[in-house]
Amino acid sequence: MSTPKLNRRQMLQGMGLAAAGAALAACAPPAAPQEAGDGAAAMETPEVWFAVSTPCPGGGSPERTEAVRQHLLDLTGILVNAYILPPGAARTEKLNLLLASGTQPLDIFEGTWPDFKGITLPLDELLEQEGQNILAGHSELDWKMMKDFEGTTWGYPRLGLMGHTHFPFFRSDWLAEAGLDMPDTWEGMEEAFVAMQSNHPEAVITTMGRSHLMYNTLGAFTEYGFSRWIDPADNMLKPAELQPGYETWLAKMNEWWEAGWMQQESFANPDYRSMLKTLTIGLWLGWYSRITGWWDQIRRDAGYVEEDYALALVINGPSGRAKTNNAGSNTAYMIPRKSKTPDAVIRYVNWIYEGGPDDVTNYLIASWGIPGEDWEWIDKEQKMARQFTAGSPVCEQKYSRDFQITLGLGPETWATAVKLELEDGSIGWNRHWQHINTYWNQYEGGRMPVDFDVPYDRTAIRDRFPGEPDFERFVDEESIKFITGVRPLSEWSSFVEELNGAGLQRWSELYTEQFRLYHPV
Amino acid sequence: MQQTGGEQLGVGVTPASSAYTERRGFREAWRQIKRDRFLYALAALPLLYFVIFQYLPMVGVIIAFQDYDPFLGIDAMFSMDRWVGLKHFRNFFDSIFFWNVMRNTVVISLYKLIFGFPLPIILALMINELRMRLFQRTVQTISYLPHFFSMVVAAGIVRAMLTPQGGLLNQLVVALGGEPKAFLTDPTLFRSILVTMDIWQQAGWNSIIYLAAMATINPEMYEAAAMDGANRFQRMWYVTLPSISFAIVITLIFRIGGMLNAGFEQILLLYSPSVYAVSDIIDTYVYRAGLIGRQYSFGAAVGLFKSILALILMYMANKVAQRLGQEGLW
Amino acid sequence: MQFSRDERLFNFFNIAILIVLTLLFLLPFLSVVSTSLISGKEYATRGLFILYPRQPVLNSYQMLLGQGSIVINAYFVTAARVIVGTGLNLLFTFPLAYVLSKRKLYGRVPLTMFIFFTMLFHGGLIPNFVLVEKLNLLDSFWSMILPPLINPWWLLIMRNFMLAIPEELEEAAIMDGASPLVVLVRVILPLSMPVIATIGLWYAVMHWNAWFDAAIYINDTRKLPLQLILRGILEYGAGQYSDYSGLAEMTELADPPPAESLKAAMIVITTLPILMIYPFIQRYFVKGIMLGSIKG
Repeated sequence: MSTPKLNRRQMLQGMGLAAAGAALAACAPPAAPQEAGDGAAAMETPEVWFAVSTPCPGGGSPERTEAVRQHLLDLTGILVNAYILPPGAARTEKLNLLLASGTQPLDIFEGTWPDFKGITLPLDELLEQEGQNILAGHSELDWKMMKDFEGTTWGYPRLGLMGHTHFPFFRSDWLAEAGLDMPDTWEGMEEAFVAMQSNHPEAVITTMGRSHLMYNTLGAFTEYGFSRWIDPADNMLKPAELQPGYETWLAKMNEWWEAGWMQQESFANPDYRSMLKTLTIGLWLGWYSRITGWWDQIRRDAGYVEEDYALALVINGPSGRAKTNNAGSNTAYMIPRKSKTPDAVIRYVNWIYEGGPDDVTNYLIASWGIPGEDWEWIDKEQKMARQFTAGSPVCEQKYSRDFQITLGLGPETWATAVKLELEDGSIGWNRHWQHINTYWNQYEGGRMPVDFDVPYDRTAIRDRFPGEPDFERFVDEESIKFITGVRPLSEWSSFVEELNGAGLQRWSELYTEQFRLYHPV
Repeated sequence: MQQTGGEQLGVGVTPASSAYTERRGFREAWRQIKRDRFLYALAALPLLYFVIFQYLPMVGVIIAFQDYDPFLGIDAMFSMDRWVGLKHFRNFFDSIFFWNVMRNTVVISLYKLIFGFPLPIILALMINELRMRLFQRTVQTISYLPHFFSMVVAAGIVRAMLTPQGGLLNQLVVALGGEPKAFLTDPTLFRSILVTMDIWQQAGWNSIIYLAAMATINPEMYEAAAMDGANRFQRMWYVTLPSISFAIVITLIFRIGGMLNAGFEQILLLYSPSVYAVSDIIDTYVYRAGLIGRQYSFGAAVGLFKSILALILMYMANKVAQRLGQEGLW
Repeated sequence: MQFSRDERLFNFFNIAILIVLTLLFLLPFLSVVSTSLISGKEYATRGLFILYPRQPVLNSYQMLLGQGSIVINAYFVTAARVIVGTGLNLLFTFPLAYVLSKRKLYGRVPLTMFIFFTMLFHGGLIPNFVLVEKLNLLDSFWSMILPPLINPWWLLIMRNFMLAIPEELEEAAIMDGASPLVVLVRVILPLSMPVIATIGLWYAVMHWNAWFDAAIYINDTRKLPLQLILRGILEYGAGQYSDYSGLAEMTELADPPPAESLKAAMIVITTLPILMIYPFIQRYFVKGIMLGSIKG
């Protein structure tokens, strides 16, 4: 709390501002801030405010949104409201200001929980009392990621350990043309690409930057894959780039690069949609949705029949499985301390989780709208549905998911089992949903990162080691130089020297310290 | 008499003349203020704007010396609890990339200045020499068209032109018998691409100010020059350019003051690890440093550092302009 | 008037160079317009740089401007913002620029410094938000109008133009017994038209393109300006790869809009109207304003 003196100064300042503002903005209509809990009626109907990101920057149809709000009120007894966060970097700014503001109510938002620990509510009791469905809806590991090392829960999970995000996708028609089966070894993968290239000289391998390449391939040459690891020499946590074998991997990637296998912009974040259209990508080593979503759309638009991609479930390299599972993230939904209705929020979310993976009706109501008006079940048992307005690509014609607030794991992932009626009346299972539904919890094909269950507090780390972003930039920049041959691998040892100069020791100490909170020696 | 006194007050930046003013005392000052009361009345409301919307929020710079967290509210700004002094400045200066980002910032800005500053003037001169009204308008309107693409769009267009996967430029290269090339990943080309893109986007737009200045030139001056036998180039050189020099100088001073803004959004959208070494500027550095957490204090510290440098640069540029007999900023 | 050989050569090269430049400026825009006119099917099979559509369709425009469209609504918000905003901008900038152009004014230098300082030093996001919050302007149209009321850079540019106006003109009017206000409106204003038109254009474009203030201050989607909608459409699905979202991503793709042409159409929609302003501004750029004034 602040001192009275400061308060007075604040008041004076505020009054001065208000007076001056009134003079300037004489014709401004006073914006009445809608305050929650105003009057007796509002006391009975709790009102909650969400901060949401939707692909509809201006919201959906005002009428549909209002109808869904009323419908949800009838079903849950809670009046829901949403702030639509702006796109891009302004999103973070807006969220921070909403959280900081004294006049704007906010009851739930999304982010990495360690960053907000000081201003959010611990949820253990609330979940125990109002959120049994939520508790049951996530694995023990997911919940572990939401807790600090003292065991306090700070959010409910949005993301966690994911098995479906990285697979090598091969051009299946080119494989068939070469008479090859889907490879399962490193040599097989290289042979397959050579065969493709001999038939199609334009064929290339593409990734989306070094980290995606590492998720897909680093495990083939190292013991821990794309993971921080404990160096037995000094029992300290080290970056993935310093484990034995990383140098070999760099050499292998350099070999690919020099042979002209890799798309030249693999590390330069090009326009992947356009690149997919050129039909030159023989092997895709990036994020899955570019294939399951973007490519699938291009394929349907262009009417391709033969041309397609298929994934390799497992690739085994000299050191074992090439893939590393996408390590747990501590992205969560949190309730700010200033919330006046935390119990209502949890009750609402708990209602969405009701039914679990078997019955996602409530989730679909929050996401698509009113059954019978926006969508309906064709066969609930078989999870087959049809959409009326919900499927419209035009925001203004539909309810645009303002009150969904359960993205990621849990209900959204369960709902990927839903099959939809297509334009011609047949029932189809969207390729993207099918992929998520099949692989999201399949971790066997990949390595488990050593520290997958540690929710690092990176803000604290950066606070004590401000050079951490420099360190990461340096590792990335130099690694790519090694891959593209700008820097010869003979300079590896001097690179390690330079890493020491960039603060490797400090990095190691801080990460080890946090790692040890969860994994004591 | 009134005229002379006013003259000295108006130009009065030199210590001599302000001392002179001092001697003449408050009564003379008051007399002048009363004389110009209409002018002060005109200025009052606009100045109030500056007080409220520019100066009041300026208290916010103190967060550069704190570990400020917006969630603590505005009160926290006025408490000493989170005072850290020059910590954020030191963190910035201590970075192993500090000199790299400073050099990139200055070099990229300088290139943009050297190539990007004269071109709008030349473009304006060329457009001004056109005699066909309709053509003149068409050229002008089209020339500033790229200014209206947001950076996301402009960067998308540049990528589509330069990609080795069938980009326009690479099609040309292949047609001429060359090998397709990933231009954007080449450190020797990256800055040139930035500068070219900058010119493409801004040259037409920046020429507007010069065209406006040319509109105020008295046509009799051209007639007189033509009478003296001056050709088109000579008229441009001896009539047009000197007449718009006040616009050129003030624009140049502003550009120099903005030297440390080398094009954040443009670079962020186009750069990649292969070209970090030649393209990482102060703003992209701060962006990466602030990616995690709410580093408002760090951002404020770097912002303040940039402002102070800009102040020094503009002060010097202004001095030089005044030495050359030009109208400066004050 | 008879042109000499040199003159003709000059004109030829001047025009030739400008035509080439114009085409270079135009080419990317043509590509955007063409992209906005193609269907998803055509897009899937075309190269990266589309110069002309094979089968032009207006689907994207229909989609964006269709019934109850937020785009139409945002158009009105932006138009109101440009008109009201630019008007107030000039109403505040012009008098102050005039005052600062008076060399005789007592305290002119400190006043100029006072304004100059605000060019370089800013409070930052949070104090500005708190100010707008305390003035009770959150979610109000005026939160987009009042904070950028005067741009100090442009103010000083306007002042420098006014410094170039010969003082004799003003003195002559005062001799004739005109009041200061009459001098300002009858003498200074007409002479300043080129710079007022220019700065006015800059303010208008600033308002037309602004989106960040609306993103921060406005919650009511019916008060959002065009550029914020554009940004949403451009950035959604465009970029970063941290997008784990199952249904969110796919409901859109279930019945795919031709994403690229939709984006392109949105660019055309947000760019064309402001381009149209210039020809109207240009009539203030006619040479000889000064001459006419002296003679009259």
